[in-house]
Amino acid sequence: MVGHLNFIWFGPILVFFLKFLRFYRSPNRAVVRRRIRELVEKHPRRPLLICANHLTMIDSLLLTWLLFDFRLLVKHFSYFPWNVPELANFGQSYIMRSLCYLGKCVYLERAGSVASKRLVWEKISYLNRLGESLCVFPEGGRSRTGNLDREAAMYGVGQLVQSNPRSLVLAVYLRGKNQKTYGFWPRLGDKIWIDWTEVKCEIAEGRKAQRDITMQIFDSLEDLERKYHATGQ
Amino acid sequence: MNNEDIYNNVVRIVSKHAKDPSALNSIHPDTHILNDLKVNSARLVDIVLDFEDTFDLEISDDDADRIATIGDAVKLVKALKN
Repeated sequence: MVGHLNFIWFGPILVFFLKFLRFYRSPNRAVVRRRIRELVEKHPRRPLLICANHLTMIDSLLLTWLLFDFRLLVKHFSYFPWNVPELANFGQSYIMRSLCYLGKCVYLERAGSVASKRLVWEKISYLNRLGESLCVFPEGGRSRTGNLDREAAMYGVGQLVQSNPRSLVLAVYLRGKNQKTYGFWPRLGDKIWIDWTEVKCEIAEGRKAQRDITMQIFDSLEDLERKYHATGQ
Repeated sequence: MNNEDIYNNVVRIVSKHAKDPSALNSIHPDTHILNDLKVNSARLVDIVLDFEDTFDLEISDDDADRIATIGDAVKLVKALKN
């Protein structure tokens, strides 16, 4: 509720920051947003599980800006996705903590105990089952290779799909035209390419199925990555 | 399958994911899978899946979470086989 009310003022500030201070542009934003709108209209009350590639520290912010109309998020704040940022990166100052609070974040400690990670997983899985959308990075962190890295695949995303088969699973590829490898943020004024596809996962039980589901998502992400390179970005 | 077979298979499976090949030369039961062999923590699930296939057993999440060293894995496999 607090996040929803605050979104009305902090949403435009974030967009202002991205558009007019960082000068980011996205040529295919309108098409991408229209397709999202059509998808959620076709499947009302089903949360999104956004699975994206990861190259910069502001990917979640960019994804939320580029995928969703402001009006859609004001009307249905449940589509504003929950994120799972690393505490060491995003929890060290009051300003960052406040932004993360408003931006629906559940902190994760990558070097934390198994129990702490499991608690984070349970929290986001619970939120997803309540109908809240999630944004996760199946590579676990920013890709060190500059491209999708299957070696880094985290099967927790497959577990999330198993935990809520009602989720609409989206593979989303986002990358600045000048983004050669991972970094803090895209270059100032960069054109951001974004595209997504719905992944119709074959859902089964067990640990092996978690791996299979995760790999299905990687397959879709790799298709999008090929499309990004094919468009001459 | 005797103890030596279990140990050798555990080492073989874990070695496939080791990022520090030099550490494989001095592998022993106390070798820490993540810290010494530099296995990516995300690959622990693959290791557990390989254990299940190789030794034909089922490992619970709680048991899997307790595997830290080569010796832990060997002990767990032995316990589940018996």
